[in-house]
Amino acid sequence: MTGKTGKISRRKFLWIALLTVIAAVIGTVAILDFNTVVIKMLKHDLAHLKVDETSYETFVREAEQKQHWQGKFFDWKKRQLVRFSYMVDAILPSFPYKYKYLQYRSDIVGDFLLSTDFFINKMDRDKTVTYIGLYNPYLRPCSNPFSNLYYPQKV
Amino acid sequence: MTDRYDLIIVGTGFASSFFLKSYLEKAGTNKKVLVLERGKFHPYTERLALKRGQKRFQIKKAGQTYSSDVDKIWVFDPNFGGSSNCWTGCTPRFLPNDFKIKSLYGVGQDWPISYDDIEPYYNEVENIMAISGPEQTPFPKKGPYPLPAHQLSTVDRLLQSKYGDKYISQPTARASRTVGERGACCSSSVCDLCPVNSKFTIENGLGYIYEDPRVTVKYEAQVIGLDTQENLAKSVHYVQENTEKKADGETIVLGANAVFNAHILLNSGDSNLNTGTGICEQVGVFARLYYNDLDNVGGSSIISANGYMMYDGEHRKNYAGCIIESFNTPFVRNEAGKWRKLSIFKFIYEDLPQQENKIVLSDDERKPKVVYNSHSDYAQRGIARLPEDINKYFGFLPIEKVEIDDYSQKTEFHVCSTTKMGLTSDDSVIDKNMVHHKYRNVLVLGSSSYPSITPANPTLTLSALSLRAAEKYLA
Ligand SMILES: Cc1cc2nc3c(=O)[nH]c(=O)nc-3n(C[C@H](O)[C@H](O)[C@H](O)COP(=O)(O)OP(=O)(O)OC[C@H]3O[C@@H](n4cnc5c(N)ncnc54)[C@H](O)[C@@H]3O)c2cc1C
Ligand code: SF4
Repeated sequence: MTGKTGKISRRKFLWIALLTVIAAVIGTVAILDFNTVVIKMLKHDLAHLKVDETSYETFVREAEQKQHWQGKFFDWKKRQLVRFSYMVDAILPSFPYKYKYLQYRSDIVGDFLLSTDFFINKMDRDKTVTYIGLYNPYLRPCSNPFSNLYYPQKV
Repeated sequence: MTDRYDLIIVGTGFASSFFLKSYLEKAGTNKKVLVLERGKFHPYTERLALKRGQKRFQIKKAGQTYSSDVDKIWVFDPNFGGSSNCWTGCTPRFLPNDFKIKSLYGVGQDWPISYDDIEPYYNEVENIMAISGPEQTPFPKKGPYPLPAHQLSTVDRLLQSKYGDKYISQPTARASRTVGERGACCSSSVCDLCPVNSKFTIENGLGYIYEDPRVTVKYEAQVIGLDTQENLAKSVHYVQENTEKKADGETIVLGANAVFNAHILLNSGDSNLNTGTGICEQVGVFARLYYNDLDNVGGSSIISANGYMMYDGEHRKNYAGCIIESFNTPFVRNEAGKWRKLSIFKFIYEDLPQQENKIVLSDDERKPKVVYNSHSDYAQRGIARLPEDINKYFGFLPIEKVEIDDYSQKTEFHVCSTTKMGLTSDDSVIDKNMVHHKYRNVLVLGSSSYPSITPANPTLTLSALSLRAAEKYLA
């Protein structure tokens, strides 16, 4: 008898847990748009740097205005993958295409840092990182911070 | 009354422009040349203004020019200068063995010409494009490249120490020094339109040939087909401003790329069973290598190096050869202090032309249809080995983690093999001098002529073939 009751309540519990996770994910997906997710990711991944607080907001606003993500092949599908994976990542240790999500996340963080003075300041962790304008090679050509211009080969 | 010309050229991309350059140098001063270009001329300055958000206008895209039932895309710029406007400018030569893969490895189809036949023209094209490249190369080369090589990154240097001339600074039309109106490449990594006009384009390199008084260029003039009589083509039909027009030509040169060269021939009633069949391109897969304690910095240009370790050899009997590209875009790893302990490599596999992948006519005579099944098992067998090969060739680096994409890229931006060259019409459409087997005054230029495509980028070779074709035709 007890065993049976226990079995039912365990199944019930699992159902409730599953539904809660689904509801939580759907709920958060509905609330967290792509830009909010980007800001959350940046704040988390760059917590070890001193970033000027307004930089995040300015970055996503300008990126949105200038259709930056579309121009970078960050199409709707990719943006949804990032949004959804961000939520799932908080719950599950592993899920399909996690590696892609992490790559896109790196790309976003990279884009943000390229839009700040971080590389101009030679990646100095002690200096406050400040937004200087959306990274756009057409307005700021030759600013790939890892290229030979910044690391000339000694002969 | 139709217009009459000594030469009618279709298209203004690499294939047509290199032919025309040579033709104008060798043909008489009294020649009359008509160039029919389906697209518009969007000058570099205007394209740049568009990118900078200073101007607004539409540029016609490849997807609007053909139909297809499948997901597979073919990308090119159907406007003046063709895809020279948006290409990346990677210009490796083919290897001597690429021309004889059937004899050596029992796969695909041999070329009717050898590396030695094309070598002098490679040199010529490299000079015209002002190619930057290294002193040591995996292919034979008589003299140095016109411009010095781009700088290798720290990781590239380790790979070069291990693999010697099988790992080189990429030969490229992205100038390493200022040359003429072209700026020096500074790794901005948006080569589809270079902000400093560094890469070679038809406009910045050969635009002057279209100002020659012998040449008349008609824009927005789409060639539909040819009138043929026995073994000659008499005239070209084209549509301009929605009106059908016709021009007569002594010699007709198709340089419209592998989709449209075949389409024009099919529209002309070409009964060669090979016409249109075999459309293919290379298949690319990205891999990221994360390092424990190795910064990947100092590379020059968007792609700093080419690896040939997986390109040629006995393995091509069983699976595709592969060229490696070392990327130098400003990517980062979002882990503190490990920003650049990362490489991105692209592994690009050759494919084999297959009969069932083809260009066919559609209900709309202005739009070819591309029928495409998939790339070959031969290419897929190469891709399947990638984890093993990365371990074999890159395993000596301080690798923390490897991530290989579990899908291939949608396109490598190359379109090949729909009007193959060969010895007879049994297995090909044109002869070794690019002349149609049947229509002896029609030359069909570009990578549509490739009987096998190799892992390497096609444009240097197709440009060299155009110079060669002009010389042979006028000889
Ligand atoms: C994004 C991108 C990157 C690339 N990068 C590289 C690279 O790094 N290295 C490399 O080797 N290759 C690269 N390629 C491929 C390269 O651009 C092509 O191999 C090359 O442009 C082919 O030259 P083509 O003259 O044969 O054809 P195209 O360049 O396609 O030119 C064809 C011309 O014909 C015109 N035309 C077409 N149909 C008609 C018609 N019916 N009537 C009149 N005119 C017509 C077109 O408007 C165009 O002017 C790249 C391509 C793209 C799209
Ligand atoms: S890497 Fe940058 S500078 Fe070099 S050709 Fe490409 S866009 Fe131009």
